[in-house]
Amino acid sequence: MGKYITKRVLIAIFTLLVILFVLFVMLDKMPGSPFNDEKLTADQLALLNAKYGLDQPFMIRFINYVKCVIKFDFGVSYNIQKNLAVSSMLATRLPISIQIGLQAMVVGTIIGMLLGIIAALKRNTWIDTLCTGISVLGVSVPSYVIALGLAYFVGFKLGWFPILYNASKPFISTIMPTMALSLSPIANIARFTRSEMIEVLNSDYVLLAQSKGIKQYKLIINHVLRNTLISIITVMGPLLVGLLTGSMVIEKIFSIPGLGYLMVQAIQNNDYNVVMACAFIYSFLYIFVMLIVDILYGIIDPRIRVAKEGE
Amino acid sequence: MKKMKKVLSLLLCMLLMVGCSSGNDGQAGTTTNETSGESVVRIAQDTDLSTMDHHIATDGTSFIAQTMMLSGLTALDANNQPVPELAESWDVSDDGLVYTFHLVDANWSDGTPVTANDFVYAWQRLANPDTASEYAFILSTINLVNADAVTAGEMPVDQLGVKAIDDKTLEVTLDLPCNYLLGLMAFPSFFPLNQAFYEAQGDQYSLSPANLLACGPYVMESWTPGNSWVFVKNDQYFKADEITTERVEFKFIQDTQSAMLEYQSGNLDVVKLTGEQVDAYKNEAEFTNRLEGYLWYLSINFTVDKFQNDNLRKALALSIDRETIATNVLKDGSIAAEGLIPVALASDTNGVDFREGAGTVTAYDPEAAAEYYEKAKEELGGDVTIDLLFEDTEASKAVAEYIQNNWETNLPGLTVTLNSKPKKTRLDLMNDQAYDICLTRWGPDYADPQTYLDLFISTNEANNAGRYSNADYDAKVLAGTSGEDATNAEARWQDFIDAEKIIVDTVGVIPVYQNGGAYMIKSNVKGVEFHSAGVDSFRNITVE
Repeated sequence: MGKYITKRVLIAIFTLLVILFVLFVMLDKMPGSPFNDEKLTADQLALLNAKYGLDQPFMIRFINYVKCVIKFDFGVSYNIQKNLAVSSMLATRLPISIQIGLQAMVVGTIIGMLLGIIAALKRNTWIDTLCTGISVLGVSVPSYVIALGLAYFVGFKLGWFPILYNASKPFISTIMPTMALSLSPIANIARFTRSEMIEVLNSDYVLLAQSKGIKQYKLIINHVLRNTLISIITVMGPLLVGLLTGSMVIEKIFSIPGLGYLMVQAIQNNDYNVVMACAFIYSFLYIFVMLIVDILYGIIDPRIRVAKEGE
Repeated sequence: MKKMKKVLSLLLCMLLMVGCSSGNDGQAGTTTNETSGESVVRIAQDTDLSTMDHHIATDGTSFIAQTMMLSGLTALDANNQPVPELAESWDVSDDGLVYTFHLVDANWSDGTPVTANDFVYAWQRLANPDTASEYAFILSTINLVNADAVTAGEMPVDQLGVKAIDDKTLEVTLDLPCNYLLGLMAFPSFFPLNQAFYEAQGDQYSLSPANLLACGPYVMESWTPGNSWVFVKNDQYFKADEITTERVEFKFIQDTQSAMLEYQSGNLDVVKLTGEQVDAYKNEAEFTNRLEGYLWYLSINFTVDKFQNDNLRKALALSIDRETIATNVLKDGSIAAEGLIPVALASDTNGVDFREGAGTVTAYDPEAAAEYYEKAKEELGGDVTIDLLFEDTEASKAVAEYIQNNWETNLPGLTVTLNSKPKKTRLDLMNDQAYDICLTRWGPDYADPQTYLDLFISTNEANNAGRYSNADYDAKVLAGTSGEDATNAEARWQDFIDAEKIIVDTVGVIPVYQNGGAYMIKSNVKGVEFHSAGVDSFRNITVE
């Protein structure tokens, strides 16, 4: 297991470097530049480029950047929060995105699994149809429709929760974004849970257990759920990364100072350092979560653990 | 099962911890004080606060925030006229070249007095090439002695034409008279900077409320980037007794519909509306329209051969229905452009608005346009295809589509392709002359026609992207700005009227519309001052 993890970590670091390099090339080739305001003269443009080191050749800029990133220095923002260190921009925004993402993941997993389990146990009844209907809706309705609907009916008409994010009420003001954001994991997890459960329920060992007279709830929890979880965790990994890095649409509607909108803003403004840092965080989280998923496999299914130890 | 429980409860604990901790990260901690009777105004902004450094700022939202906590030598009153602020009075030499400002007894928020040196130091920092301020040019626009040389790094900063005679007397020396100087003193780029405080902050200056010093009506209490910035009354302000609002909260709200819901819930007092929202709210008492100084125009690229054809340009200019664009497409209070100079930008010595004096120089005449196009076709040897470049915003897209429709309907045979690009890309394409025609805009830097007319003189390569070149136009503009008429206010004004007529008649550019803005302002909130040339002011906002 230890050897396996070390290998994965090394691959992860190499992947990150490659991603940084590709991004650097792409930003370099992207039309526009951070400083091209109508009011700038050519002399001033040269001054600004020199000040931020943008007049250096490509490879020197890349090497300097990687040197800084190792020290967790992501440079300063050119436009969005002028001259503010990108690391401190991330320090205020990342926790908010992670908080809302985790909340949505927990809500999505619990409700999604419940729906999936109920649908599988009561399959081909109206309950199954209802549960499946909910998950189809969750996948097909765009999140901004849900978000706007929540903002209007729950936030404005009923007045139950604040519409906009408020830093002094970090829980209550993230309830609606969490609800809007959790819809897609609910749908995805419910679908997966249902189909996996049905497969497991039809398997020989469940039939054997049933014929041995094991109580229904014990059978479900000890045998069926445990085997179902493996495939659920597979879909949870990528879902979680998507949720953690923030959703631009949800952030826009609920005015959340998170990572998703920042990334879009940075791309539009050619704020190179911010784009790089956001992309770095995205890639890092993705690789990190995939690693965790692999380790979780081992915990839930001893066969995988044993197989890997044998490598 | 036990393991599952453990994992689940661990997850829930983590969730709660994250929920509790992220609110107390230092920069937040604001509460909306609705119960204590404290007077609070909450304003929605549609762009985020970029910087509190008034020498680095380039955008309206940042300038507005800076005018909350800083004051200039003058301030603009509700009618755009400069009134005494940190300068209680001033003398102007007979030749109009030396301004002597007498400062009022005022303090910075740390209790130290505001001195003439604070202005000298600030202006020197603005001019200093090391600061790399995008607004350093503004020192040249007031014709400040040596501004160009200092900004270019050819002269030390102490050669700049600004001197502290003593602690309370500031002397400003110009190369040429500048009749809009007093109005510009209310612009943040000219605001003072406390040298000792600035140097003590190092590279952290202006990055958080703790690294800021105020000399205006408010001090910054908190700033959560991407979310909100809050000001509270500055007790050290020299007119603090006139400030009745205790607290002004600005909130960055990306989505206009959410902002409107928040306004209707009573959690916001000032909200800007988009064109689509105007129809729904325009009959309500709290609806307010204002005119902005931005003029949107079509820049024509003269380096593309076909646009050298006078008849083609005339056909294009005459076939745009500006009224419909303003009232039916934009709907936000925008008005059709009557010329290159916007309405309510500047007035002559008798107080007559430039537009009134110059009259309407643009026209909509589809029949004449079609005739011009027929002639153009003969000369160019066939139908013309035009690529129309514009910014990827809702408003620009709507206007560009309407212009495409105008052109293709009124000039049969003409083909227009739409080319939507992000602003930064659009600017690059313009700078490289890699476009046909571009829908672009200019915001006035000061209340004088010169801010627009300067753009299109043939030597101004930085701004004259289309490379319009007309000797008569150049002569008129230069006579008024730095030539024989520069010291004669009336002759100068006439030069500008003539110049505008030349550029519009020869279709050097095609003015389209002047930006409007639609707002909802709660009826108990007063004192929001919109300035078409200059920074909108919430300094004098009151709540009943």
